Amino acid sequence: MRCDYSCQSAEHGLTRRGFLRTAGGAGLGALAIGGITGTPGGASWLSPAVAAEMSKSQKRILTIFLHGGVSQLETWDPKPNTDTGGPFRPISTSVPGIQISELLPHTAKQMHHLSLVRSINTKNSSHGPGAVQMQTGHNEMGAPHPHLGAVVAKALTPEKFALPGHILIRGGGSSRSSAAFLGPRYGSVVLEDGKAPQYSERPSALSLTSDERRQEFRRLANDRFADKRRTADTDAYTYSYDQAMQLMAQRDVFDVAKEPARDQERYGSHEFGKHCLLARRLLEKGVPFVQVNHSNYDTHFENFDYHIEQLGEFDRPFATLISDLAVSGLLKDTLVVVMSEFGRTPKINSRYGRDHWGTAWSVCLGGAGLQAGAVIGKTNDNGTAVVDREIDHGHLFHTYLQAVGIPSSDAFTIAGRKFPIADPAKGPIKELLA
Amino acid sequence: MPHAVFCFRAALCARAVRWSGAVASFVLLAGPALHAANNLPSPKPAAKAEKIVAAKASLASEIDRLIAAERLAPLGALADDGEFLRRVMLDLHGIIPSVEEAREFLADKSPDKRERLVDELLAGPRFARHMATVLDVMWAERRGDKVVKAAEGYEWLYESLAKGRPYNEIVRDILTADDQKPELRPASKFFHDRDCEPNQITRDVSRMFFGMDMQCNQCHDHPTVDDYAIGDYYGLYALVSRTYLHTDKKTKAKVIAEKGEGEASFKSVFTGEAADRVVPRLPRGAALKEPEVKKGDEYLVKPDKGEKPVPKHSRRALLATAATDGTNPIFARNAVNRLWAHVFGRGLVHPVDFMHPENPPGYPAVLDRLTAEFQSGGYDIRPIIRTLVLTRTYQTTYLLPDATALRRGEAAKRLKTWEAEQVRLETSLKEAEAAAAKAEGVKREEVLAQARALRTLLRARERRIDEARQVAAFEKIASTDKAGAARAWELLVTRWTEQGDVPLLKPLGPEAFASSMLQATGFVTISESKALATLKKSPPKELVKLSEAERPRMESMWVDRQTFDPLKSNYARFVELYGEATGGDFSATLNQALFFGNGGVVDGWLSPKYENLAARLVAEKDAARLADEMYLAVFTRSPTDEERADVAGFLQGREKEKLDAVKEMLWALLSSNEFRFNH
Repeated sequence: MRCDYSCQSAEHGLTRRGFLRTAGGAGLGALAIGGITGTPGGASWLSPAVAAEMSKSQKRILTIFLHGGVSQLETWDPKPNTDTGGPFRPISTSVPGIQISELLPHTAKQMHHLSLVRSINTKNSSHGPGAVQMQTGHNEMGAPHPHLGAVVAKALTPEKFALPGHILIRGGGSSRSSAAFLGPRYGSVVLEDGKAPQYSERPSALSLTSDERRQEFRRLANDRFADKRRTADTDAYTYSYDQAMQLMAQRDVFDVAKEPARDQERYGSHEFGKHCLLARRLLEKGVPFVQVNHSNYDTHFENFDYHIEQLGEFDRPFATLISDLAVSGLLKDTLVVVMSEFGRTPKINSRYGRDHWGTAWSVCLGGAGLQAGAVIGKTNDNGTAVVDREIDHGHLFHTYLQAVGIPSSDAFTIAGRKFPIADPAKGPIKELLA
Repeated sequence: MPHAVFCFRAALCARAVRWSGAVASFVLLAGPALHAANNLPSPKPAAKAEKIVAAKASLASEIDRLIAAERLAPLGALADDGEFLRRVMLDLHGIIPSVEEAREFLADKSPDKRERLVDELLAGPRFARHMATVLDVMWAERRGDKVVKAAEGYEWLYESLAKGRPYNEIVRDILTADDQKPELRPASKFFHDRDCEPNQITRDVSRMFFGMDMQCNQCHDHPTVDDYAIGDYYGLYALVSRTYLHTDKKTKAKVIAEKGEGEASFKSVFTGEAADRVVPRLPRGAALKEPEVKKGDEYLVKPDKGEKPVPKHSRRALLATAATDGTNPIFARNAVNRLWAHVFGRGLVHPVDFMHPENPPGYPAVLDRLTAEFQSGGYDIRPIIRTLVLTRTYQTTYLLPDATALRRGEAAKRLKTWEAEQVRLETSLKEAEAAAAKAEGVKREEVLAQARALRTLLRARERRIDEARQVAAFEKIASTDKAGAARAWELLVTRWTEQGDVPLLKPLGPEAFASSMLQATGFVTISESKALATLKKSPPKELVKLSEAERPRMESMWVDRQTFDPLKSNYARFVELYGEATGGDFSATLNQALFFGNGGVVDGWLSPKYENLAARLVAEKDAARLADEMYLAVFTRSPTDEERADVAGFLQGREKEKLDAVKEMLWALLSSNEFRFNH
């Protein structure tokens, strides 16, 4: 005896889709609703064909966070034959005129899908504040701001989506990230070491039948209460349990071993390779935000050896992922960003290390219709300063969001108060938004 | 502390008798009868107490009258006893009633039982326990351990409230921020948590103690609130900007210190408005008087050679005094508004940290009246909360009123009066603003304050006028356009819900959620029985040596600690998963649901142990009686006939796996909306 409520009607869903398509325009209304309103991605009222079409055009973001601070000189902005350049050579890429470090040979072949921002100055050289800047688009000051994943999950998760909207595949690096004022609903669900979410397995003492019986009795109790009083909050609470059941039923989504053996081999058997394949699996299921952490790049000692090792792990799975997303067409709707909390000093210290450096460094990004094969901004000859088109985390945040159709200059309204989605003093990198 | 019979021993004895099982039908609130039975002296003459009760009750009805003059939403029916008991226990103790408490209260036939219940709840240590959580979450915002541990800060609040310390004294200790005196150290958590960083302190002091979130004013006038100016921010900033974290030479410990010099200055990034030596003052307050300090003569202990300085004049002490000495009306108003929000789920001014004329209270006269009462009552929070929960408004059922309950014609009638009042207010406001433009100095501040008050009243009036028009429009189509009327009514109900003019569903905080599950499943009673048995058999030495006057209170606190300390370890997971974002919306998450279903913690409460609920239910042969016991324990009410049938149906044919069936039903009821929300 389930209640049949008018607000599960199709209008909500379509309005929401409409909003996403025309994003940048009149998005405020849709976003401003604090509780839950909108609707379904894979809801039952959709025919399978329509649902498939909708889930295909669902926008997504994948961020790969290279923890500790990857060196821009050993990756996206090599400075060969200078006092700061280090021992590695640059190599050509699939985009004529763009060269990157020889430590990224596979990535180089995918460069025509990607772009580089080489002129980042975040004016910070501490890990904590750097991670906050790059993942929230704001400086760490005053009340905390939500993580990029929380913003994306809030704006892009279809209403009756069974999987979490914000997933962190954690191999070291930061733990669960905060949704701040957006509320814990949009905080990350963590796949610790690439394993399924905590408590997503039914305890052995509880049979499926028993679980289904208690869920049925819960629904019955909720229906009886809803006859007396029903709010957006009671709906959200009811749904969270149904969502948990749905997630448990498709726990395989988190099992990378279910991917074809051939793919597992292509991505590699090490942790980061598996995590990239898992990320692909989740993006294919329509998860709006996935972050993969790769640790650790904090190379105060032996910077070059460590980068050979770390990037050796990073390069092939990352390039494979980009190539796969491009082939399947998903890259069209998926923004991919490779970021760190900052870069590393051009100056090589006495222990062959590079230290923290937020003054002139790079980010690599692509997909979701962004201009591909572009280079934004420029550093000077030995990489010690930005000389053209200075960019910071605020601009990047706007760019990411607008790439996936979120009107970043608007505000969220939470509990009656307005919160700008991204720093109102900044705007996106327009030339990247094709 | 002029209210009601404070009788800890009554509660304690009542509990002791009840939970030892000797007198099952014992009435919890026996009061004087109990004293007579035990030959204990009654602490206050009954006549005096009654008079006080009457006085306070009349304040509650005065509040109801003030509300009725403004509210257009129909008043719902009176909440029944079970509904009231559960609601008021959750609001005052952060825990649902036990089955014993519920039975006793429901069986009590006396007409004043609600008032006596409220007095009992306010007097007990569980009130201090719950309010300490509420205030701690409000001020520390779940920051956890820093220099001062979270538990230290909490314990200090719990003790302070259990002693009945007034609100302004508690805040004075916080703003004094003396981490060297052992008795004040826990209160210094507020400053330590924020690293004594003056901007963080300024923002949170203005937000939490004055209800004005002026974060934007750090760099410029507020973009959306005309009333918050950059100068307001820096007046407060000047009071804390000399405070900093000093590293002790020897121990390297961080201690709170203050300089005797240094002036605040600002320059707006928008307008270029600037000031060099900002005179310290409270938000909306006049310049604070400071002693003359000669240059070079600022210190008792100079900050030389890494010494911790001691200034002759402490601006932080000036802040602590000026804010809490009872003269600042905004300080009192903010507290009352937050107490209202705690009880009703939404502030009279909402959001609670955006008090300004363009965001008026829903019932301006109510806020004024309660603020005056709070100030004259010495900043004691108990009489205020007592008044609030004894209002008829609070005691309204959570069922939404339907359109037939609307008093037809009332909106149109009021509209006339209100529109005339609007014109008068507009004229007065214009006059006040014109006068302010001409006035100077203190006089100008006075006129500005008047203008601000008038603007607040005007905006509140405009909102009600708008609402009255909406109601009148509904009435116009009510009989002619059925579909249109239904839609219009729905919009009205939404409006009233957003305004807090109908009762709101309030999600339980994580501690209340966990405690209430432990109560429903019977573990709180088990733990308390153990504590009471210990107290009887081998009372701890520290209690035995207390005086007769002091002992009851300390005993009840001891029992409270013994009861909850073993259960508290369960809270951490709930706080982590269910801890609300500050000031944010309710959030239901996948992580929560997975934990609740598979985490093992809740499941552990559903297995039979001692005389807990599961054990009682498994032992119950009769399905109807089982349903009665289960619904009373979990929902504080009897099941309906339908629900009795649900339970009987669920148990049908499962005699051999009855434990499983009981656990399934219990889990379902605990995971339901009716349990999750205070209603």
